[in-house]
Amino acid sequence: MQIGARSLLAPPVIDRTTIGTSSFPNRVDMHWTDPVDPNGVGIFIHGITRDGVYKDSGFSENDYTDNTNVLASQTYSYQIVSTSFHGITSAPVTLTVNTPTPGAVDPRRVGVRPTGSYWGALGENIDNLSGNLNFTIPMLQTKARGGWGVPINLIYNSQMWRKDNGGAWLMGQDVGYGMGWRLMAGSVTPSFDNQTYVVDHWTYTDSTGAEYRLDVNTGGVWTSSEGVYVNFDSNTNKLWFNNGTFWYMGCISGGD
Amino acid sequence: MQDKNGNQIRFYYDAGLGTNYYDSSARIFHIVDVRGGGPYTYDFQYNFISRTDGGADVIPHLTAIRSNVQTGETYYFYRASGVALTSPWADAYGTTDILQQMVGAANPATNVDQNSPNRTYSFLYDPAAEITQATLPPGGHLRWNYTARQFSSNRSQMEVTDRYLAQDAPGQGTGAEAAYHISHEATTGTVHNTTTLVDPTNAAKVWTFTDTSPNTWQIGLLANFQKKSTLAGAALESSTVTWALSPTSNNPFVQTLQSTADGTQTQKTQVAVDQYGNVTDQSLFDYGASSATRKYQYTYLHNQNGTYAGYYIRNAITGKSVLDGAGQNAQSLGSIFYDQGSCPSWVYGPPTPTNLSGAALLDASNRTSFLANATTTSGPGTGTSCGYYDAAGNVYASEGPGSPQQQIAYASSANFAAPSSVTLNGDSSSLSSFTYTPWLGVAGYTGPSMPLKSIVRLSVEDEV
Repeated sequence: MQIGARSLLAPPVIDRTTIGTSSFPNRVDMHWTDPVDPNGVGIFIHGITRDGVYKDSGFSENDYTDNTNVLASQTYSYQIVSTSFHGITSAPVTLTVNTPTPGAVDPRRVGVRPTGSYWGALGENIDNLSGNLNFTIPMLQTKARGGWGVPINLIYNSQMWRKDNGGAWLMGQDVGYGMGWRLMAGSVTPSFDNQTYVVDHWTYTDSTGAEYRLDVNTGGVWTSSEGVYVNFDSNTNKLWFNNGTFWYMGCISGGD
Repeated sequence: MQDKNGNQIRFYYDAGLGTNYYDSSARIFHIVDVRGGGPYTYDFQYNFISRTDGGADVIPHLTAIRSNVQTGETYYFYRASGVALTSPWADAYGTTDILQQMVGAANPATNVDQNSPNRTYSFLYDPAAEITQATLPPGGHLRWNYTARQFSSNRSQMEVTDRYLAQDAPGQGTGAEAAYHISHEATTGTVHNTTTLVDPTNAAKVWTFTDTSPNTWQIGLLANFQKKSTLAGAALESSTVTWALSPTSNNPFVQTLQSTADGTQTQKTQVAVDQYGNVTDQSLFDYGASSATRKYQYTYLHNQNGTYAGYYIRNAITGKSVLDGAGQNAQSLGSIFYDQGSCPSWVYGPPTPTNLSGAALLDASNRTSFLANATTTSGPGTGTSCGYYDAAGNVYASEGPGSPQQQIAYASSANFAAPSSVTLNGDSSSLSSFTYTPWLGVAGYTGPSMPLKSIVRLSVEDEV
């Protein structure tokens, strides 16, 4: 611990040449390298705006994904500012991002989806479109009355990397099972508009790691047009399936 | 998780880092299902203390799963920590942990014998943490090679390009690997339009995808699939797929599947679905037919009573009919009625459901009368079946077709999840009784000498 006068030194501006971006019809990814700050007290938080509207703040993070209200064939102006531990804000760095046309979909695809085409054996599912390897090891078979139950599998997806004009991107994570592995029944994750604190959409991740964007909102019940028939009722936190079964999403992950 | 009758499976999650509040991480801590009843069915153990490289474990890692109901679903996880992580393009990404081995316990009753070779998966990785080999419990392995592939917008990603299968079980020698090679079109756009797989006999499979379309939802969907004796040869079989969007929900579904054999013989199946993805109409075109040979129609409960849709019961089938190619002369192939109160030909007095008082993992608090429990089923030549359901959705009485009327009781010792006794035609001398293991396998049976299968039917839907 150090005690002293407040540092009024603004953090250095992020070097624009270190910022990499990758844009899709409904998403913009960006990452950057924090500047060296030998005379300051360190960067506490980054703030991001899009077209002058606040989007997000990230503690000690140097990446950001904008996936709320992003439209195809648009030009967006982002600004990133850094704030020191003593509350002093840097000058902004500005970058312009053009989103592609609606057909420029992300070629990366993980998990096993109902509309996909796969080949393999012995727990292996190679995605014939994306080249992802999904490897599944059956672990548990939970049981309820009437023979109903939910399998719990240990799953691995190989497609963790991407490279483009924005540099290399690591999209895989070690979340407690080893890099690329997951073990779960499923989850839903909100994407908020941080300006209004309104949910823009939810992402449903199934037990294979496949992600589905639930962006059709009918009175707080969110559905998808990606070939999966689930309904997330955000009013009751229940994920409904079409046989009357539901998952009550009572656990809220703190993100670790 | 809860089914339409209120039966639950409960997941408990660990506390997030820096908190003491459970259910604040994505790490499953316990699962309790109907076999566990009160105690946990499965326990999960994480390593909070140390990494295998001696440092602090920043992210808790799964080290074991233990079954408490003697199912054999007990596993131990071994990992390597502090492994250098490098992108496929040689960018350094610090270090990570990788899963090296998963061992299944050999003795389900005691969860011991962690080193059983027959329950072990082992894994190898490249520097990018892409799995390159999985050795399977019997000893054989799968192996994969990855290659970077460039798409439009100068975007590259890693793909499986070679897959190898080895049958090298211990004691049987080490066999040679069988190689399967995957390739694509010469120049790739947004997504692949062709994927080719050649197996060790040089036989090939070819998948073709839609890579450009004004309907962006079609991009990436399968358009054609071929099987060939050699890659350069003619297709032995092919399937052409056309997709459409479901009404109002706009989900892609396979509308037409046209299959061709020997290059000339073609048959086709065409379907229509409702907004929930249920097939409502199916037309079959036999080989060589230019018009439908026959059709099938399906009806659903939520269309007969819209209240069910409000309870998310949207795929309960009520009937199936076959029609001629012109859509005429419908003949019923079966029908199902749901949630009726009684069976019309029951003769042994009102059957009595088991008192489920104290049943664990049963939430009857919001129970409605719209449960879609199939009470009566019938079909041509099969007669009619009928059943009564208790508050947990168990069949406690059933009849027909061609089988005696049965009354089924459930006991708390099996958490009301499996029949404890069955009586036929109201005759107490026919009583059969059952006891169960912790995982609900039949442990004991007393009663008349007759095959188990003939006297126990747990769901009238089994007759459909």
